Amino acid sequence: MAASGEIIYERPNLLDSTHDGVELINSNRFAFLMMLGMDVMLFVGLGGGYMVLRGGSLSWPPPGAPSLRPAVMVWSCVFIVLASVVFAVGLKNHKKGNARQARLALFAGSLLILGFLITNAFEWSYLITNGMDIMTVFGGIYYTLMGTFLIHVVIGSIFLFWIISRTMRTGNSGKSVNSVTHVAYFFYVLTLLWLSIYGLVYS
Amino acid sequence: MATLVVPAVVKKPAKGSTANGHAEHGHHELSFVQKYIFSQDHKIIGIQFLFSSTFFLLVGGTLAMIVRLQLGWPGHSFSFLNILPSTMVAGGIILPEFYNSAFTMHATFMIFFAVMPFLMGTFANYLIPLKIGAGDMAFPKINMLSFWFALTAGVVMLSSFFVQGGAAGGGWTAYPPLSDVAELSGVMKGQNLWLISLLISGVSSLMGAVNYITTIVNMRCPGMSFFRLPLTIWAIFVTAILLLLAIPVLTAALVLLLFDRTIHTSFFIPASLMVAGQPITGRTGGGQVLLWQHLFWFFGHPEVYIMILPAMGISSDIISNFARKPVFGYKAMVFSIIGIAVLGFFVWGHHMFQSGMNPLLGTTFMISTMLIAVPSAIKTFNWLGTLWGGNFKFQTPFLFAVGFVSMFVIGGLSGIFMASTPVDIFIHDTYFIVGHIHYVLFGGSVMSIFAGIYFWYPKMFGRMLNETLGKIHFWIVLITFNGVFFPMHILGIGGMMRRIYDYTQYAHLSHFQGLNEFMSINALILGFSTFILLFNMIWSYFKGKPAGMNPWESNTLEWTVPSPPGHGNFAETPHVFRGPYEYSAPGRVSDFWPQNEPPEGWLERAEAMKASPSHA
Amino acid sequence: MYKQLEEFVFHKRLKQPFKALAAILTAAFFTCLVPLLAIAAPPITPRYKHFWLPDAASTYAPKIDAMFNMILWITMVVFFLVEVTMLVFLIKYRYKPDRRATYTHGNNRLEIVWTAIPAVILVYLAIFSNTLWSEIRDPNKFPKGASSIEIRPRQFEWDITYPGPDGKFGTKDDIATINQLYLVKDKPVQIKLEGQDVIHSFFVPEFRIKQDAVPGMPTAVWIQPTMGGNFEIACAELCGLGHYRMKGFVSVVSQDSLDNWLKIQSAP
Ligand code: HEA
Ligand code: HEA
Ligand code: CUA
Ligand SMILES: [Cu+2]
Repeated sequence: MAASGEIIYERPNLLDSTHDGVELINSNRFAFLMMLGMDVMLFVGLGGGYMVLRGGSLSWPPPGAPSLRPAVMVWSCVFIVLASVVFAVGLKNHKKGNARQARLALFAGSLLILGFLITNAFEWSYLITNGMDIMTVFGGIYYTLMGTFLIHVVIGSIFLFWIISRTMRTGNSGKSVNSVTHVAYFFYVLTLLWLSIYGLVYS
Repeated sequence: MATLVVPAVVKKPAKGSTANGHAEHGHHELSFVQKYIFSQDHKIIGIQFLFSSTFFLLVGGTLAMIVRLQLGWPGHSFSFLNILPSTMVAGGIILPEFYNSAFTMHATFMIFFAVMPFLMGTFANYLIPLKIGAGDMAFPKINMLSFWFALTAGVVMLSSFFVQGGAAGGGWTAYPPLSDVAELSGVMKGQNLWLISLLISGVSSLMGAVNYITTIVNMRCPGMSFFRLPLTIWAIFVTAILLLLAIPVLTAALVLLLFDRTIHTSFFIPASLMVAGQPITGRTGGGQVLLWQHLFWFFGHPEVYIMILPAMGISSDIISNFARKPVFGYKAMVFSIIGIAVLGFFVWGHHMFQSGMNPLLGTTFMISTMLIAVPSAIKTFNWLGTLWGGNFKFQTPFLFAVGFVSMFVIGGLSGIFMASTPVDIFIHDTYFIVGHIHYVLFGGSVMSIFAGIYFWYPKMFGRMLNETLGKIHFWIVLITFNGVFFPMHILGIGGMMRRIYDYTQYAHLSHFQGLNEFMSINALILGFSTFILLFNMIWSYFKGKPAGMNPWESNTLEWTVPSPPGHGNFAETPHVFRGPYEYSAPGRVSDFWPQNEPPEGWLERAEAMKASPSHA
Repeated sequence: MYKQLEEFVFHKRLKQPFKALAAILTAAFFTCLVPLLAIAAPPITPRYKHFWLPDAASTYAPKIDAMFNMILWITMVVFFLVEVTMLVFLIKYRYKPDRRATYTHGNNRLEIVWTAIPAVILVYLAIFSNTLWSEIRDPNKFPKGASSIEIRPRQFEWDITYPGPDGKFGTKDDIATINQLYLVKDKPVQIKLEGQDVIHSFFVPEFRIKQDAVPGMPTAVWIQPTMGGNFEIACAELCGLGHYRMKGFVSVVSQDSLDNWLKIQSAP
């Protein structure tokens, strides 16, 4: 961090009394991680809501509501886990500077994410045609929880396309290492969240 | 003992000042709008928050006055109130529906638009970079957005007074089904606007929090280790973490309630709810009423600590400064801040002892609630320890800071009554609670905010506030504050419920009218006393004594730069050599020791080291 | 006194802890005394003219009051300790140009003392509170053989149902009234509460009872009145426009008069 010609410091101990004024962590990265933390808390709130509503109901799903299809939605888990794995590979390549492989991985990952979205779309259209009503508690919390999650995935995908198109144009710039890392982290967290949500809603 | 590491003498502008590229542009002048309105300078944003919070304090205060008018003289006709529309006041008499809106919006404005932005907007913005030796925030643009989101939220909240059905009237806690079904409360769009406004203000708080945490972690100047941070910064740091964890849960709750109100989901509507004797139409039911309370208080309790921790930090700084001695037990102070923050997430159920929640849960929450008083005790005794052996001049900031300690203790101790589950059976939802609220929030947070304003105004505007007016203000506040809020404990013990428009309806309460009248008179004086502060702030801006760089002979970094500090704050990155509270250190002539004053012989050694080839 | 305290802290004289201990014991003694006083104290003012706790008219009311008084004493002691110390310091250490403030960063022994003592007091309070709490609220400890009443408040009245001769709710012989509850002196009664529209809260100050009536979630409480006469039911949870006037009445009567009244009510 210190400019050339000046004394270089060792990375200080967090609570040491001789802090040398260097950044402990890249600011953008740090802010991004905090944003992920906020997202997790948002889902803690919604998931807690889900648990209370489900726990308080006599029958779940209530009579008349279509039952969810865990077998179908397992695919969504598979897709998103695979996507995470692929992103991890991509990130590794990206950091090494293998632009082509990295881009390939990002692209493959986005196809998997698409698969995830399509699985969900299937489930939603099935639920909607079978009369799952957002006005019921069962439908309402499902659509709210899942919808919030899907919005996150969609935002992640937009982010992803933006990065892919940028790396296509610029190759591996130092800046995009950060954004590739971020998008990968984002999907890691989404994957973990999704597995918890799946466990919560589909079991 | 910490070894003295000889750091480089870095001759470059403080970090952050180049972050938004102003430095590179050389003498490029910013337009007025860039400089004062859409400013990205943390000092300007801090001052913008100062103005907006003061404005909303007046709004909240005016609503409090309306509440007090009704309570002091129930059913009396006040002709001057006739300027309000007939949906609020009829024939000079405050209507019950307006009374409900009045205290709801009073609390909302005070909490979300006055106290929080004062602490986590004004002081956090203004002080973080200055106190840690940075040129600006880590993300100046997000910082600017944070202010404009907060202001938008405030305007949306204000606008809800003017829609049909009036402003939200379900209490600041907005318990459904009352806040959920418009037919039950008579409030229509007002409640939606309330929800939307809080969503926006939540986003603003989150942006602020991310910024503060990043800035504090990353942009401390050389030598400013965590345990050399002033307690204000520690408190803001921990509070920002609380915001990050608590606000998203509120967001979830607000969204669910907003869906209930707009697209008629039934998250908070149980089966077969009755509306005016008929089963509810347009809702399927099946939801859980208590869900809201759990979500709200999971946020709500950390929220009250969000409002007290920075206030504690500010008072600690000020008390140490005026006692001319180090904070007693600095590390104990830091750990108790952290302790309060952590425990704060495990006590939310103490607001729900009588809600029908499982009594066993009540026990768990009681134990955690009792425990959370321990770190507060540590802080209180350390404040006393700081006062012990001091040498203080009674200047206004000090008066308010000491007032903070003594009033907060009363509020904290009344919390113990409520923490005890059986006692809470009786005092829950009575004026005892209202007394507690105001001792911690006015006697605690607002007193500390006043202390902070008197203390940092000279830094912000370059002029001292008038001491005489300050002292008058303090004594009026101290006396009338106790005059309004201490009797609330008596009312509560007598069984007077909160949130009631006309207690004279009840035989067991009607004899309290005289006491209430006394309280209302005090409240009016308390309200008007705020104008002394406002007058002082305006008058001193033009006529005040020039402050100079360090009027309070303080140690921390903000006092090593001119008042007000220039853009970029520090001409060169400061270097910190010691903790923030080295007052009256033995062996020195002066009784303060700025954090950045190099120790003897340091400069020579630094030069020598720079010259030596082994370090190149 | 603070002179000694200073010595105790900073010069580590060992005799002083005994003085501190003595002070604590004295405080504890008074603490134990207070509940007795509170129970023994006769009502001085007529009902409804109190500027303190209302009459205690149920079995657990005096116990809650005792708990309240105990906390009051503890907090009073703490309050005076803190505020008096502060005042003394403020006066003693006010500015003198020829004096320098004491340079100290704290004292670990003292930190431990003032962490441990409040912690012990608070744990003690929690244990005491919980005994009483479970006595009042634990469903397993509800008094046996209590009669039942159902109260289903709505905006802005108290709908009260007695089970009638068959002792069951939801049957034809139920007796429903509005805003007027009759209880029998010295007989326990279990009240089932459920809100119809919004949350209300059943509050009778003299009985020291308060329980939210939540729509969709029935809750049960019990009372055993110990004092005859008329009391008010207040609604303690904000429930809309008429919250302030949602008042009901309780009359504590003899078993005979209640039976009589029920008979009249159930006569077609
Ligand atoms: C800044 C805000 C703030 C702060 C700091 C606190 C602090 C505390 N609060 Fe408070 N509280 C509110 C704001 C705050 N509260 C608000 C706004 C409400 C009402 C919400 C609503 O319903 O509208 C509320 C309501 C509330 C309730 C719910 C009451 C009810 O509705 O029935 C309870 C119950 O336990 C409670 C307890 C406590 C406790 C135990 C503390 C503790 O942290 C206090 C600890 C401090 C001390 C104890 C004093 C110092 C210590 C000593 C001097 C040491 C020695 C002490 C002993 C040995 C006892 N509070
Ligand atoms: C930060 C929080 C905060 C602050 C600062 C205050 C400040 C005040 N509050 Fe507030 N209050 C709450 C938070 C706060 N309150 C909360 C959370 C509730 C619970 C709400 C609920 O039940 O949902 C509540 C409820 C509440 C009630 C109970 C209402 C009820 O239950 O029916 C009352 C009644 O007296 C009251 C009074 C006051 C007064 C007189 C002040 C004074 O200190 C205000 C002093 C005013 C100023 C400092 C500003 C300057 C004022 C003016 C410029 C006005 C001048 C105009 C005239 C004199 C006409 N408040
Ligand atoms: Cu019913 Cu308040
Ligand atoms: Cu709380």
